[in-house]
Amino acid sequence: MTLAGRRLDPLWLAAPGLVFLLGFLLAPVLQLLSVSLEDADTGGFSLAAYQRAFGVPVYVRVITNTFVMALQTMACCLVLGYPLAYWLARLPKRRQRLVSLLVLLPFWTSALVKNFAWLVLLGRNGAVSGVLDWLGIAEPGSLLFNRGAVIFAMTHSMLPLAVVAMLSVMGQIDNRLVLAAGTLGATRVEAFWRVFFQLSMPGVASAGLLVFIGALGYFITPALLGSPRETMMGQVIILQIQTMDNWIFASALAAMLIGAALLSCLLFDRLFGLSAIAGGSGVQRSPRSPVRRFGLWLLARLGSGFSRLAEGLARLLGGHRFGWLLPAYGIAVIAVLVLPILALFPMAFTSSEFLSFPPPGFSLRWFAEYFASPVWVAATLRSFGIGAATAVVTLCIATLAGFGLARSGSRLTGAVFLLFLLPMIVPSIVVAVALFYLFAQLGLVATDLGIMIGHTVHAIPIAFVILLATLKGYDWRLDQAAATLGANRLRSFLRVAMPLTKGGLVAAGIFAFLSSFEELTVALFIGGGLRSTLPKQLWDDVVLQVSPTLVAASVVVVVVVTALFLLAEALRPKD
Amino acid sequence: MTLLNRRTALKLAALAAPVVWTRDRAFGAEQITVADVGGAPGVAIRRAFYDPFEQATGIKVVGVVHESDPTVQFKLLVDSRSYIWDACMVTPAHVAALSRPRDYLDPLNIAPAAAANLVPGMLTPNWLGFSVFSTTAAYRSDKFGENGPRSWKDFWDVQKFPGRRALYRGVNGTIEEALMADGVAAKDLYPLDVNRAFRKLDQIKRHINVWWTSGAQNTQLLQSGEVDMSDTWGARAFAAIDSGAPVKMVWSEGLYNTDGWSIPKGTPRADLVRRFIEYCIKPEQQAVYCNMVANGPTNTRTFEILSPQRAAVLPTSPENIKGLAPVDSVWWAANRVRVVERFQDWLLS
Repeated sequence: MTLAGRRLDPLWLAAPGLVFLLGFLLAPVLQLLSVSLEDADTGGFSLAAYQRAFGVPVYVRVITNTFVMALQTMACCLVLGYPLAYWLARLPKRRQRLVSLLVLLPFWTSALVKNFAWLVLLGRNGAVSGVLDWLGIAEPGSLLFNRGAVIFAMTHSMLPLAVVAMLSVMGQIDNRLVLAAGTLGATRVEAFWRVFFQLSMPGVASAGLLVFIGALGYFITPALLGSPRETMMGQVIILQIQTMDNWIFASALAAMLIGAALLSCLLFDRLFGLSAIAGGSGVQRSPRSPVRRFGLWLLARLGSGFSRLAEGLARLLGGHRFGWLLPAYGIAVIAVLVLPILALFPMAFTSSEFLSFPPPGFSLRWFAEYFASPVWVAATLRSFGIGAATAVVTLCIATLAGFGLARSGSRLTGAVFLLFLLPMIVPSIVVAVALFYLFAQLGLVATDLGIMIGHTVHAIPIAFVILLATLKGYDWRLDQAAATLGANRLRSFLRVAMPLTKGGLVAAGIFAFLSSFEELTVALFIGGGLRSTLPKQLWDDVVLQVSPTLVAASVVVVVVVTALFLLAEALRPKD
Repeated sequence: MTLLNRRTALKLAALAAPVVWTRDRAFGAEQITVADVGGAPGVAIRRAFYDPFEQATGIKVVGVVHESDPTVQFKLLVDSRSYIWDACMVTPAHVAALSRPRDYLDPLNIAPAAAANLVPGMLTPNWLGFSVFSTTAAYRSDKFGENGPRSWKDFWDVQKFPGRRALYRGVNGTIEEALMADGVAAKDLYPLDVNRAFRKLDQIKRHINVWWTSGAQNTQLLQSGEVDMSDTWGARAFAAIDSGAPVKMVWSEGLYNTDGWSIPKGTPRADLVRRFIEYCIKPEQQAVYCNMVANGPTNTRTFEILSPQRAAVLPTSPENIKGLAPVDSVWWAANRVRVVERFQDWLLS
């Protein structure tokens, strides 16, 4: 091979993202966290903060709590989300998009608003307690302020992400493989476990990782819906920064959380090979690794076990195969997902000064208040604008990096993979404060551009993981085929790879937009109150006065977004 | 084309002249940014102070909302010299945290004559108080009728007053409440006996159903009847009462504290914002504020304007303030870190 003919490893495609993250995340955050090694009095080197974190039982308990709750949320999301994603994947395309819209609906509403909706609905005098009371199975007031309520609310807000991450992989699985398994003698149940389930694993792994890492950073939900026993690391770090002004200890706690989360990512990567070279329909990595052999053995046992169970049940019930069960399940889960959003409508049209369900009377005053307030309207428009810009920039960075990483043979892939996940792992208040110092030097404080950069940092991991999972299922031999037919790289990307991975690209773009649309902490610090986004505006309302205006604002957003999606659907050429 | 432009420019200059040359009116571009607590008080502050000040001086006031504890943001913007705020709404405890070890505050330079009618202590060299708020207990009268808890001792008495309880998830007020429940008189609270307070808190801990974190949540808890009694900040409980919820406040035993304005050190618009802060002493403006939010004024002449009915529901009315003790921000400044650490450890264990 001549020097000129030698190609760079495709990993260079990740370069723009690496530069972006080094500049706007790694450097400022490391600088901020380095104070955790300082002595409070002398400024010299000291491990006292870490000794305290490990020495005081309370903090060990909070760290354990945080991980256990994140694992519980992850388990709930995967177990509840997998059948839903499976059902969605097998629906006709058009219906699939419409049902996905319903699944995503709760994501368009700020977590803050949903938390307050739960406070109203699940409260002592709330609608759900009322129903339970009426059924005679009530212990009023016990629904809130416990572990169950927090896990429920966290699962509720993460489930759409898990479903979409799994769906983008399931959508790529060639259904003829399942049929082929049938011709080889597998029952339908066996074919599912040994073929479909195995091929959907990258989606499960990416969904699990996103939910787990995302859940580690929760701080508002456990504070509002939990008891002190549900305290998570995010809350303690914020308390140390905002109330105690103790940067040394806060940095030590943040560094510990980051370290533990990085370890989990490595473990995930080791188990599921997310960052590894294309798997899926391509060549499998290390077919003889013990973990993999155990996994395949487990699937085979599950397949034959469930197959026998299904046959037995079918014989018992005279050939009844429960075909209705999956759609019924899907509809039930979606109903619970959409419930608080539907409840927002009557709450917004209330005549009361407060959030209440059912509302005491009908009134349009909160909508009038919303539309008459330049602050609310400007915040909404700014959120849409910043969200769109964030989605475009994020998608460019993440697509390049995803393609680079998926095709690279370099040993550095693992490190690059972790760096791209880092924004999700670093507590958002640490990112926000680190960026504030950086932006103060660049004159970007209280600018839309500053918020957009912060949001892009925040959105990169989600978009990146969804894309990577999609690309893992992509058959790179198609690219080679295109190349033999004379297509250059750009052309084969535009004409072959992009159309085939469209589902993942769209999902990544939507979630990049949503993560910006929902982001609070960066908007709070970088915006400084002068550039208010919608979540910041909602937050202001929530902190001092929960007026139905914030619900009216959420209803407007839900209606606008739904209308946009339906419009896009109507304009789409029939397939 | 040029001529037209020049003519337009001249016309504009002529129009602008009165604005520019009127003595008390500043340039149209002059503007200050003031961080307040938002919510219902934020609306009242705009109506009572920002809007009239704009009309009187031509200086535009942009109001933004700060976090419930603004000290970190305050320090950030002084340290990085990014003056996105020119004044910030803070309590004396915040002022103490912002004065030592490093001084983050600019002096207000208010002449003693302008402050003649202020309640003593409401003006320091770098802080002007304008809003007195109380921390007391409140309860649902649909649960207890007229025979609700009358003291913190009653609040702690789970036999005599069974029901769901909420307490603030922080030290502000909570420590003092525990001591009052243990029989310490409001005027003898400071210096706080922290050990004694935690022993008393141990007794109530498992009876607390909700530890609330924000004022809005407190209002929601009382208004919806999620709990039967809670500690509360006056305007918060009053917001629930205003909406018709059966909530009663216990004035016989509690605390009061004051919100006021301070200036971040080094802001280039310090002189403009000083004029604004001095403007907030006016009794007419304080009366507008106190009519909208159930917080008390700091200018004694405000009571000449307020109606007797309104004055009676404010924490500053002679009847109400009898049972209230001032929060000792000097004690808190010296002991805050230690007590917060202990409270968090206690709460989580």
